[in-house]
Amino acid sequence: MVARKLKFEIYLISGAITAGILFLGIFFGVTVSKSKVDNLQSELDKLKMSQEDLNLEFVLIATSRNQTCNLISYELDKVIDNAAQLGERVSLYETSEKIKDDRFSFLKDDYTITLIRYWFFLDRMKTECNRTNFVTVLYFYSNDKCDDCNKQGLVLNVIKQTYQQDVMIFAIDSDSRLNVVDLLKKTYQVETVPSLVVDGKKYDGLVSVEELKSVLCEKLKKC
Amino acid sequence: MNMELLDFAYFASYSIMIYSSVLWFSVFLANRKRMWENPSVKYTPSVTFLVPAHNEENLIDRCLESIENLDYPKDKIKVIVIDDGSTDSTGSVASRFGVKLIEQKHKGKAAAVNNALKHVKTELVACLDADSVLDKTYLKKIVTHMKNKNVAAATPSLKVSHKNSLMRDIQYMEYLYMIFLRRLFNFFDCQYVIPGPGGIYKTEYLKKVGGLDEKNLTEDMEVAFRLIDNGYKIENSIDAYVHTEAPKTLKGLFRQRIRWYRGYLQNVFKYSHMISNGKFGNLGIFLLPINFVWMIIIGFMFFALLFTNGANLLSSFVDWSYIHYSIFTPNNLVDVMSVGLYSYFTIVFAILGFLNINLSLKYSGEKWRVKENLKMYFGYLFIYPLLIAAFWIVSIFQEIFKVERKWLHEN
Repeated sequence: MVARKLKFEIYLISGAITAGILFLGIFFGVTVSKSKVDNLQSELDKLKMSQEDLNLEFVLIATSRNQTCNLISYELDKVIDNAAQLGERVSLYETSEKIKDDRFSFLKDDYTITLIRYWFFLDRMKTECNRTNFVTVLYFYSNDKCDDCNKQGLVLNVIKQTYQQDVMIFAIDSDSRLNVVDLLKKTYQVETVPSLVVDGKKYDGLVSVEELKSVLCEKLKKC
Repeated sequence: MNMELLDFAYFASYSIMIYSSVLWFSVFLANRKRMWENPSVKYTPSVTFLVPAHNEENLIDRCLESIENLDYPKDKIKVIVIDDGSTDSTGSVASRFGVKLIEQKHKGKAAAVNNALKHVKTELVACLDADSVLDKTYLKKIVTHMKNKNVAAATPSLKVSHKNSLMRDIQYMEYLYMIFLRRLFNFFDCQYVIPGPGGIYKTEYLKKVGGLDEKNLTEDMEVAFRLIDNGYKIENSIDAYVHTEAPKTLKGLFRQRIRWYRGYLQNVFKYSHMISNGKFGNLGIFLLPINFVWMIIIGFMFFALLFTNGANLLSSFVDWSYIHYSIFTPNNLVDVMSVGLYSYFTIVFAILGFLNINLSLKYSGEKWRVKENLKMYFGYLFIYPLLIAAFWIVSIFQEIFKVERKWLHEN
């Protein structure tokens, strides 16, 4: 018969090492999360700067309306592309980051407001400058329990590839706590996700590539 | 499922997996100088080899030849072949080697061993499968562990004989890992299996505890539990090699593993008084309890993977056009934004996976052969865990719903 004796040191040492590894992981996670938000913030700042610029242009030449329309030579489509890309990254952070930085929710609100402002600019340009060479799409999505949103996102990617600067897509989180998002939803009677508002007209539920293409063909007078 | 709960479950599982790896690594570091050590004692006891054989006419000669070729005094070795109801010429092939032949109706390995045990008069008795082959130095090395009076049995190191299918490749690597792990279990005093091929016992002790359990699915595990329960020790020799056949096909592996894992469950319930009992050392307070936690983790991970990825995959198949879109439209998913806590865990597990293979190769006397064995390493790291998870889940379900165990004996 052997009397088996227990030594607990090895269990404790292993516990301490494991705690160290986990702590290092959390430290790494928090640091990465912070630097990601810093990165998003600096992108957003650039976007906002462009907007300020544009805003000021509007104010300066507000006196002569016709000129305004011609003088706005700003490469808006590129800026909006950047905005859309930033949006994807914001969304990726939101869905995949396990350790959320405190500043993130403000950053996201800030982003959403900036995006809606751009959309507003474009809408004004359409009506005030009588431009018909592009279409704006407001895309209301949700990161929470929305299977069709992934698909709608893919559809919009395809559309963007096809139409390039002729279609300006603005993806807005339908769950946002911002009043302006609420107002937009009420204005266009958006009740479900995904929902698209194409040049002011609302489409509920998943819209396929073919359906969307036929709508755009009509609006743009080209396919 | 609530996303945060899911993340918490993952985090907890990873923590336990890391803890377990760190613990085994600590056991390794504490004993790294003794890994290859066999006690330096002058001890050449007499040994009887028991070779149960059921229709093994093609393989048994290789096995018996390897016993003849052992580097050990010939007069100290006896061989008993138990012809377990063979319908081929197993018996006549065996009798050519001048061994003692016992014939019985087909009753299985455990019954054959018990039947022959009555005739064993030597100090030690070793069991062997007819399809296994001993290394020349096997006996010389393993007996050194048997001198201590508390030791009832010693385990060898098993290697897979043939690598000619993906399943065998994977098992080859798994067996190398088991060689390393078995030695760590030995240092941690918690070996609970005495492998059928090559396990060696003190005859007196084996007789005293009543031989093998003929009704058990894994009699080589049951006897280990029983010896521990009776206060005996089990040792291991890391370089006493036995080469054995492994199932070639997935189906064969499935059958074998269901038998092993259900056998484990059967024995854990039979010896449940050991769980969290300090009297049985690390086996009682750590290994048996952590194995239950492992089962939960395996089940959780398997189903979490199935439900999170499976659902997406399924919906993609239903709307096949979206697969097309997701493949052919570029997106920016490879982005700094996707780096995070889980990337850290990925790196940790990659390091652990590398260490696992590296140490397993080192302590089984093998070398990295990246070009030739790439399939083996990949299969072991990525396919093996999924297979094992699936086998465990099936075994647990079969045990819960009391699926008939009988068919497993006919393996």
